[in-house]
Amino acid sequence: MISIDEFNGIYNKHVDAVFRIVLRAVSRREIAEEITSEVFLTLYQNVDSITQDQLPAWLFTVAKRRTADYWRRCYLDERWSNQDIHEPEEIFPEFSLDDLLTKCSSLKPVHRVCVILRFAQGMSRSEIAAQTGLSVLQVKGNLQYALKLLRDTLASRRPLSPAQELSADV
Amino acid sequence: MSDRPPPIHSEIDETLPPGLRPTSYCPPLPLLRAYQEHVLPSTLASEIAEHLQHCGLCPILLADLEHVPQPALTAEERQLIRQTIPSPLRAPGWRWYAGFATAAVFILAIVFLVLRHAAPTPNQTGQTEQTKPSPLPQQTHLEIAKLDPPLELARDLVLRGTVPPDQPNPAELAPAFESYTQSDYPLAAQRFSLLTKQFPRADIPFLYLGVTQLLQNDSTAALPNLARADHLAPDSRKDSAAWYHALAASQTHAPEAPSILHSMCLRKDSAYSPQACQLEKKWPDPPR
Repeated sequence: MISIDEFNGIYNKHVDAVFRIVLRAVSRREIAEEITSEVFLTLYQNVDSITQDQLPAWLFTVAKRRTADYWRRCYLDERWSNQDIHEPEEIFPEFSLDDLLTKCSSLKPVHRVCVILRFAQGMSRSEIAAQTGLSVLQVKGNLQYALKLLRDTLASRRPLSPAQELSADV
Repeated sequence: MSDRPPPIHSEIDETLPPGLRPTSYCPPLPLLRAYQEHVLPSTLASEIAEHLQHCGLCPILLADLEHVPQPALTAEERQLIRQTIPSPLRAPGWRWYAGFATAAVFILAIVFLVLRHAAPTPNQTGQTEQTKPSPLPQQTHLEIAKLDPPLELARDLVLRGTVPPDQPNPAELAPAFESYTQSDYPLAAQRFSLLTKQFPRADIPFLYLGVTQLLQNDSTAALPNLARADHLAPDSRKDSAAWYHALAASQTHAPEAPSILHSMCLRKDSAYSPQACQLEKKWPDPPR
């Protein structure tokens, strides 16, 4: 049997790790908060049968199951592949973004993350900030820096023509 | 030549260079991360796996995200989560004690009823019936009053402004309240429960789910919901949320019940203050 103090100790010790695991799996803080709460409520309800040495593995297992339940509820009927897909309208770009991102060695992971979230995932600056924990200003700075590097890399890879000349207004 | 003036850029150009595009439609980030964590249903997981085989961007994104530290749990979130979880009982013997006390009260109640049934009626004795207050046991079963739906959901009431995105609008709340007002509690509980999942930061679904569960005599399930409602409720509903939280805590013998009742009793502006004081007196001292 776990006493109040022990329970509070367990909560304080493991709540961050449980929240982190859940947040990785659901990507929405308010949902992660709710699921983390459910995990510790389950611990409370099973407090008689759990021993300290089963923790934190027991909490992580419950967290994974709860997130799996969440996804099953949310996406069983509405599959992303059935949604209105914004295909790139038969565009055959000169260069693919992924190709250029891998070629541009000066880009750091955080720059690539900002670029992909902005242009492939279609997120706004504030959404990117929420996902990454950066400030909106940092996201803006990272995007501008990354785009400048991409333009430079692109310019060095194709011959300049008046029609395709890249604007250097950054 | 066009007469149109050049566009005024209020900020630096934030578009991809011409000729550079993502080459495929990618699933939303939450799905990608859920796939990585192995928590997706199998059919969906296989679709994501198939996409990842030919997409160049998503693997880069997932790998790079490992290098970007995730925002940690804030102190407010930590406290909010903790408040939804009742504290476990204090000592190993407490439950045995509570069980014994409940059994004793139950036996006394049966004995009282049997004796009362066996006693002569007033007509037989010629005495007038006197209504005596029945002796309340320490842990009495409380009569739960049904909480009225919030005023802002009244029919024909037109509200100005827009509902915040983390709060349900009246149309979303209507089906649950329809079942609630018709006393169809199982259906109301189901509908409020769905709303709590959809709007985890809104107090109304938690409050009315908790009240519905209390009305169904399921105070154990009601307690975490009412604790959360108590935390989230704005001033206009704080009083009701705190009172129903106190009721649930009392019924489940939660250790926090005396402190909630005491603080409600002291609040003279509370409509539930007299009832809270009355209930507080009946609360036994916690075992040391």
